[in-house]
Amino acid sequence: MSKMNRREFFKKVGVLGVVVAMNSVASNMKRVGTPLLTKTVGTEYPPPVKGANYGMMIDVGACIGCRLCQHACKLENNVPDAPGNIHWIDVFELDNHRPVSEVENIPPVGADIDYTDAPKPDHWYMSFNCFHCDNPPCTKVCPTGATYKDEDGLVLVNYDICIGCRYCMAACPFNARRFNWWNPEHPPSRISTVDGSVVTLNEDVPLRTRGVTEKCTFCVHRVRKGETPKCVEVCPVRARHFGDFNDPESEVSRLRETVRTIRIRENLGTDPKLFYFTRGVKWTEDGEKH
Amino acid sequence: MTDEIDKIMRPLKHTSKEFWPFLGGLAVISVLGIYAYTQQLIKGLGVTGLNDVTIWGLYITNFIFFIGISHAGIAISAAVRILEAKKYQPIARIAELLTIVSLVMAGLSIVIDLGRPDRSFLLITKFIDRFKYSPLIWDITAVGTYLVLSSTYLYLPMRRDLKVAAERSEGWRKTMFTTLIPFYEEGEEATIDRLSFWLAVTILPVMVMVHTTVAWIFSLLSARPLWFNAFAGPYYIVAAVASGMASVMAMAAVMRKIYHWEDIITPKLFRGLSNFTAITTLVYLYMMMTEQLGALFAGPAGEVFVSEAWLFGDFATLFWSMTTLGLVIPFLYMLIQAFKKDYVNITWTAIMSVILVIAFWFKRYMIIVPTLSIGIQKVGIYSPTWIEIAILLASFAIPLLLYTILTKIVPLIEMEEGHHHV
Repeated sequence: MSKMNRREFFKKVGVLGVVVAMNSVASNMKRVGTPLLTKTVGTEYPPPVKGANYGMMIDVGACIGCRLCQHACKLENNVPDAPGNIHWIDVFELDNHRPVSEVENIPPVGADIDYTDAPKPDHWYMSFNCFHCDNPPCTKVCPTGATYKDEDGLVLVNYDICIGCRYCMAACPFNARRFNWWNPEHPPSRISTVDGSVVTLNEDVPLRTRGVTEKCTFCVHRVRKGETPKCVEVCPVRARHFGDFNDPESEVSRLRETVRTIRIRENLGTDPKLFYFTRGVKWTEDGEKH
Repeated sequence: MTDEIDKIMRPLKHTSKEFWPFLGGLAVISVLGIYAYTQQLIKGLGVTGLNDVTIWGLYITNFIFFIGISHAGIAISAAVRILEAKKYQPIARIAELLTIVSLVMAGLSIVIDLGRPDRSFLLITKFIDRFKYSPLIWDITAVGTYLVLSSTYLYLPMRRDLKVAAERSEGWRKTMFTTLIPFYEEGEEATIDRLSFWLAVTILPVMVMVHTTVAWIFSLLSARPLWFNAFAGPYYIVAAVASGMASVMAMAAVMRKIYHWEDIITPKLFRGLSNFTAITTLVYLYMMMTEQLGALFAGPAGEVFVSEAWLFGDFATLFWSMTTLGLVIPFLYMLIQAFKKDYVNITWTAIMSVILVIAFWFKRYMIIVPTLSIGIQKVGIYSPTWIEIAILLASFAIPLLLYTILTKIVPLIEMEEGHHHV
């Protein structure tokens, strides 16, 4: 082997080494859950519904804090389990002696997220998910346009171009966004906390990779087909209401005409589309309807 | 004259026996940091102490810190050219090099913080779409412009010194210096002087914008107490100038000592820098006070929570030691020194400068962490893991390593035939 050839050889070995190293890093970045799915999924959502403006209304008086919405959401949207144990919905337990102004902080100061029995006397429950603001601060700051507001008012994330800078999380006034700090782990099947059935991964919802942001999509894959979000469907006390605010005949439009509503941190001007209301306490601890 | 050039060229020709262990030590720390980063790359950002509440930590602290350090360099040398403050000319290049290495580290800090660093290229490919909206893109634009301008500004006037160095060297050093000045023409100095002057004029506003855009990354988020702040730009710039000046003083004192440049880098020069640092530190303390008063006296709940955490709560120990030991004591020392006629103790000035720089690092930590972990909710305790600490140490070792290597490649002081005699 001549001197020149040897140099060439080492150059090639070096290049090979770099390529192998890059590949091992890249393969680590790939979607971990993909092999579990029968068909491959992209981040293509159904096309937005023309002229719609989706929003949600939550009856805090009716909510009994059972957290079925939270668990159903996890199964419906392939929200990863361990080690991050991400939830798109958080339910907070508040007591009656808390002034409404303290709710201005997200979550309310001193609220309990890990309560074990509900409903408790003199307590009420407030659930948070993405507020799908009309003027979302998170989409404005995104440096790649990975998070965006669609024509029907849904604020969504394109997981394929999220670089994981977490600027949207800093901008969100409602702490609605979650980050994949670890590789998302999806068991092949889970037992549904709603009805005890065996649930496999949902093929309509794209899986996330490590290092990207995710959040509530209002079940975009369902609502654009005319269904309601999963959390609305499973709520046993009908505390959650979902619909199109642009349609005067929709349930939420009619509710807004009849009940008094508040929105959280309205002063920030983000125009959230999640309204809270109450018609008084509906359920007591012994499960009696009033 | 010739004697002085020999003195300036000393570090390029002679390497002391302490140099290699020092370089080796820095290299070991850097490699440990790189190892920690590969762990983060393999397992995910979960290896840090960050969580969904405290989403930013040491890496973003480092980012603001290094952008801050990068300010003094060009400020000093641009002042030398525009205001003809020739007194500071001997440390102009020491400061410029500090600018370059800290800017590089600031850029790296952002990439280290990304969840998907493999997609960093999207910051460039999506640039046109997002420039209208994202303050992060504004900042990347400003920092990128600043890096290009300041490296050009460093390199152009250096060509004449590299020429002198090439003339006075032999062997591989001569080859190295000659390759560093491609297309050298006799008499290009006059053109370069004109260019440098206008570059200096251009850089000064860019320098202001760099730290203003850094401030905007945080201050345009209406949901975040103490970040959402109308005077964030000036507030950050004052911190940047104070910490930058202090780091230049420390660096110059070290160079002066190890290369025996006592008669080139004069005590008078340190006196001027120290006075200026004292004033900017005082202005910073004043701004901090007005900020805290506003938050405590009239602030909405979030501002009150964060301010209380700073002054009396979880971060009080850090805050008060940072303010008193780190800012007030160096300020008082520099103030007293300013009132003593023709007196300057360079060793103590350097020590106080280092303390000031460390305090400003902790100040940046105070900006980032309490607002995230306390402002919105009182959960989400953040404490850095060993991976973050290792990367933190390496992010100090890497710029120092670069700097140490550069001292052997470029003349650290502009030689006397410089533009100011033209």
